[in-house]
Amino acid sequence: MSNSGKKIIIDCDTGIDDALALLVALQHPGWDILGITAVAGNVGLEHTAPNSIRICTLVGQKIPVYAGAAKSLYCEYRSAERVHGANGLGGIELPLGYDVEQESALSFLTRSVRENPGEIEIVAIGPLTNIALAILTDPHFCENTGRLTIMGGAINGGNATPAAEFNVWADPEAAKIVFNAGIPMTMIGLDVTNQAILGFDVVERWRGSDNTVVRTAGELLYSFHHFLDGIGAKGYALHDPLTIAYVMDPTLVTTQEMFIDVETKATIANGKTVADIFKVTGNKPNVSAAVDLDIDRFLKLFVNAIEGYSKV
Amino acid sequence: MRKIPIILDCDPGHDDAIAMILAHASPEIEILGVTSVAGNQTVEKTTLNVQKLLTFLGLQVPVAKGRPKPLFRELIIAPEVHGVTGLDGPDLPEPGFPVEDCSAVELIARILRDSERKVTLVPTGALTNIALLFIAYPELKNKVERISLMGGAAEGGNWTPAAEFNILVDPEAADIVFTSGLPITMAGLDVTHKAIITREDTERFRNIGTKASGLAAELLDFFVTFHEENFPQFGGSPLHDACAVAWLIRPDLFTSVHKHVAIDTGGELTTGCTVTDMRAFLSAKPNTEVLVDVKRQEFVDFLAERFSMLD
Repeated sequence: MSNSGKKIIIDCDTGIDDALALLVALQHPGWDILGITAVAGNVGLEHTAPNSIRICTLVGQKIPVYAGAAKSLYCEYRSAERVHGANGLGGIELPLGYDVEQESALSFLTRSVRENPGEIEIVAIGPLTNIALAILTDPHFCENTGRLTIMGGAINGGNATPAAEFNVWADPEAAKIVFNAGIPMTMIGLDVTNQAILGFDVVERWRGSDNTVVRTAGELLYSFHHFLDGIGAKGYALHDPLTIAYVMDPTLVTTQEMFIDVETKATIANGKTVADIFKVTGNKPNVSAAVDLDIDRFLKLFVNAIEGYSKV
Repeated sequence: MRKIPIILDCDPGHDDAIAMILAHASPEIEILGVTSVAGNQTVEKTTLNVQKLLTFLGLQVPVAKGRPKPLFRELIIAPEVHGVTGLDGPDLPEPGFPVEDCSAVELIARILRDSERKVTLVPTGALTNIALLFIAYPELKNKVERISLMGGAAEGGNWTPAAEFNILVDPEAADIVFTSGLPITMAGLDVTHKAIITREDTERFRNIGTKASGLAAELLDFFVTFHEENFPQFGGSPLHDACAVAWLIRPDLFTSVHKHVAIDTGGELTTGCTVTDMRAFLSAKPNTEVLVDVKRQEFVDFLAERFSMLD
């Protein structure tokens, strides 16, 4: 593997759409993925860390996986088991090709960023517990992080509650620390990810594929079915894959600079990413927030990435 | 025609004043009383403005003064929007009549008790008086047909990023009103930011040449200038409060969705947020008709028609 690519760390709570996001990331030739840090989120850490290894194993790679925070900074643990299944992969069993690293995710994150000042882009697609801990424990982490792109939050609306997106809601205190840290940051929120819908037909096609990776991608997405039927969805919202795709090709998404803070003390709106759209606070923008996306180009990139595995 | 009996509960306020003119001009509406509330300005000033407006319009209905403060919080006022009087701009006559010797909530209670028909409450300020009514006289809820209010937003805010002014002023009162079980129509920022009055519209109103249209134009001169200087993206002035009245008469001008709305009262950032369950996550039953769009040109035509119906 060449080490000349863009240095990336993926922080995730794998998770079905995390798994798909990893599949897209792992076949990208321009990236040098230094490691994957796991966090509790969609399911517990005992699943999210090995699940990340299972996805790497599936495609014959051996990216080191580091176990991070097993619970949120301050609030009780909130899983999304009802969406992702008890094992986080919709009940699908995949082989585990290697072990989780001895080094902790926190140690790996702070060490890597310190050793590569300004060079690493972190893509965080789960709750922000690991990132917040890195900010809280390493005084130079913020200035040395090249960029942080998160899947989380929403300028308007929510998917865990009417006001909050799951990743932010799962650890609002961590998100508040991250949003206020001063790291150059992009938020890929529900405003765009809810538009990144993959049709049922593609998934049906993949489920019939001869290629193990493509077929597994189809089965993983298909396992959402019971949940999607319940909410009347028109297809599969690719929250995490869109976030990875954006980092590969920022022209897929239109962003707007704005001030966003996170509510942690509310009676109803906890975990809401409060976006100052009308600039009423006077605070300077701290986030590039995604406001629109090129759906067709994104879906093309995503489908090509997955189907690319059958052409190797 | 069977008129819709209403009580205006307001904090004039330029857009409150236009809501009042619209209600007065409309034969479909019968104003049973007007109560003042603290918000855009102190309750002393908003009460005086109510008296002056009614005197100017020659409208004789009982008026009572609301509480000086929100239920549990200190008062926030908006002099930067409405000026030191709360109604800067037009010259209005001194009050030609006194206010009732009772509180706003007592007057509302009296009107409800005396009315044979259910009454629609139209609050265009903070919900302090309405919440007090429901706490003090819960038995009178069944005399309320509906609450058509200006306040809140399914998306965004105008005083904080998450809260609209009227709800932010008294979030606990808003919580009491939205959990009252009564039908609510919420003319929030989602629709009022689309109910834009331009300079050209203002001139059109002025040229109608009636006393009421002249007052409306003078109120809008001030309001449009404020928005041009502070929020040029609107291309005019959102006419917030008039939407709550206009919907009662011409619901066909508006698009709405029936959703559950709850008020946050504890957030550091989201206090006063009208959390609207747009995607129906919660099992909670919809409690609010949320206005989300208005046919702007037809709305302006409607206002012009009504302004020409008064002297």
